[in-house]
Amino acid sequence: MRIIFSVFLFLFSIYFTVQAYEYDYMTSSGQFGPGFFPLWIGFLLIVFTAITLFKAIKQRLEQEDLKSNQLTTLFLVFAVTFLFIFLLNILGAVIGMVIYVFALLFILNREKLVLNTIISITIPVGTYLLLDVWLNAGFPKGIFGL
Amino acid sequence: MEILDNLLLGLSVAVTPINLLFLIVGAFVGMIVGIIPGFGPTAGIAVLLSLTFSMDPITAVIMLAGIYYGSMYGGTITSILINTPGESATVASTFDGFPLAKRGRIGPALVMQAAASFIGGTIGVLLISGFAPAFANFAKSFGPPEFFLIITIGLLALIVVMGDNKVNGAISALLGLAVSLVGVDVITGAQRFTYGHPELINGIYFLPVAIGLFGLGELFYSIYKGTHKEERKQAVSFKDKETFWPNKREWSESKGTFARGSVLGFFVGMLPGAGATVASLLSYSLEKKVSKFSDKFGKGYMPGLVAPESANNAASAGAMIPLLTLGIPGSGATAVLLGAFLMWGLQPGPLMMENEPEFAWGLISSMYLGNVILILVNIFAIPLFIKIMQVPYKLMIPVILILCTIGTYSLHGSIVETWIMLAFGLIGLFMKLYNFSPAALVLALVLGPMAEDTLRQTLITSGGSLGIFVQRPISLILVLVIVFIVVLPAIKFLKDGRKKDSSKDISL
Repeated sequence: MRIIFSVFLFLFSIYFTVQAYEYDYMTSSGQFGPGFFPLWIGFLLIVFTAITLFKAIKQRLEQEDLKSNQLTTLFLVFAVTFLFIFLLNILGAVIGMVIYVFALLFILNREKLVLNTIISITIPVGTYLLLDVWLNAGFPKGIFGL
Repeated sequence: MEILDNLLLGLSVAVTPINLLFLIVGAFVGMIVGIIPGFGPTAGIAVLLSLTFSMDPITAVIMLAGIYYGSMYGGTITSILINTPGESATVASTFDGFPLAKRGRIGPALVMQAAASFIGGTIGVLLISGFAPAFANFAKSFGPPEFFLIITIGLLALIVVMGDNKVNGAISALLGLAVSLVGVDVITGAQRFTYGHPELINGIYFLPVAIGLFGLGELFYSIYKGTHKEERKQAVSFKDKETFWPNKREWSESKGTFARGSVLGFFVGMLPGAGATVASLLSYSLEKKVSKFSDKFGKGYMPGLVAPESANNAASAGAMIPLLTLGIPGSGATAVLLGAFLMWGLQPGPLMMENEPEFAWGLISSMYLGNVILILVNIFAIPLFIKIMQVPYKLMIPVILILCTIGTYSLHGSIVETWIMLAFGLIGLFMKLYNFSPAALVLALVLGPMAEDTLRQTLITSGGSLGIFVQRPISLILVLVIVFIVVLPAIKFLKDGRKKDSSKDISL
């Protein structure tokens, strides 16, 4: 995984630098333009991410990373969070939060359904009262108007 | 006398019922933030910042600063009780704090850490009151070249403290600078990296990034490590007063340590990049060196707990000096505080002490009050925090996730920013896994626009020549500092390499 992350960073650096080339390095009046700073940042990024990539390739032969037996849980928590954000404007914050918290607890604390149900209602309601009602946070209402 | 007048002005601003209420809230939240594993002051301030939009700026900043230094108190509780530091700044507190607890000195250890934190925090604030105006006065002569160099030093210092992972530190800072370039270039008005998205014209806001890296990223990492599977922590009970309060010997052994730790901590905290973690470790080793009983350290010796505790609190006060007088933070948490100041139109810098005395001195005075509140909260609410510590982490995960996601959405009602937060949560996980520095990224993101502007202004003044950096006396000194920071590790690296080579020769 380290190697994938290093490749990602290296490719991002190249992309960033290529983009930076499109902005003027100097303005027509002879001053440093909008492309000046990004280009130097991009150049340095390429140098340093290339070093990390080289190191990652070298180390890969010696050791394997991502040693965790919690990768499924981690993936599920990420996926549920992704869905929650994706559906936030459709379901509305309150209903979305109730389902989200319940889903999270189902992943993390499956054996205690009653406790999970109580928490799934109290946390979203508490958050709603604190943030939306008291502090006017402006929660999305969704199709149910909640 | 002037300081006293200023402090009285500050107190008149800070002491209102509503400010006091939110100071207590901030102190409490800070303590809780300190206790929760993987949820530090940076995430705490970033998440809570989104809830303060409807507040008066001074009230909000007083509360957020309360979270910042309150977390130093809270982080120690877990260091002492379960040998797990709540914050990196309380790692050194486990060295003697946990052995003390194992010896049955839980109560005295908790009381002494509160006292050390209080003394460190208070000496730190006293020193701020004296140093901040003098420093601000000195900084008035700074121009764009000096500011650019100071920002560079701040970022380099964060990279240098990363030890063997300096390249990763540099990448982190450069990524932060890269992200800071999204949006309109203020000098020419040209759009950069916006791809026609109206939401990106004003740039990528630092808060979703900070919440993603420090809130979500740390949480993902805790799940990766299996923290949610750990058993409930055992409750601790205090049977009688005798075992709760420290004895006379423990007080007298620690007398000098309080003062040394506080002063050392303050000055280390002032240095960009060093911060409370370095201060607490340095203070511990200093105390071990000067003590007649150095062999007792690590076995549950009270000065071994007092040293890092007084230092980390004094350091969090010291870090306020560059933040208030230069507008340049030295850590992730103070970078978020700077973002908070800017959000309310308060521009920290050399002129702030003069232009915004109510705010600057109100904040400093609130720190005196905050320390008083925190020591009371610490001593009398310890059983409550121990109860909070017993809540299984798996039940805290939904609360943290809701705060991060809904907190980010509430900033501007933007789903794009919520996606940015999630993306940086994932990036934060990998940064943590592979020893990158999320703090350097956030710091660079907050300081990026200032770095670019000051560099370009400098080059406009000099007609494109870099010579300007060595022609002005202060900037020349700063250039020498940079050379020192960059060259010294390089020499060490080369020396180490040579040693390894020669040892290889011998073995061959």
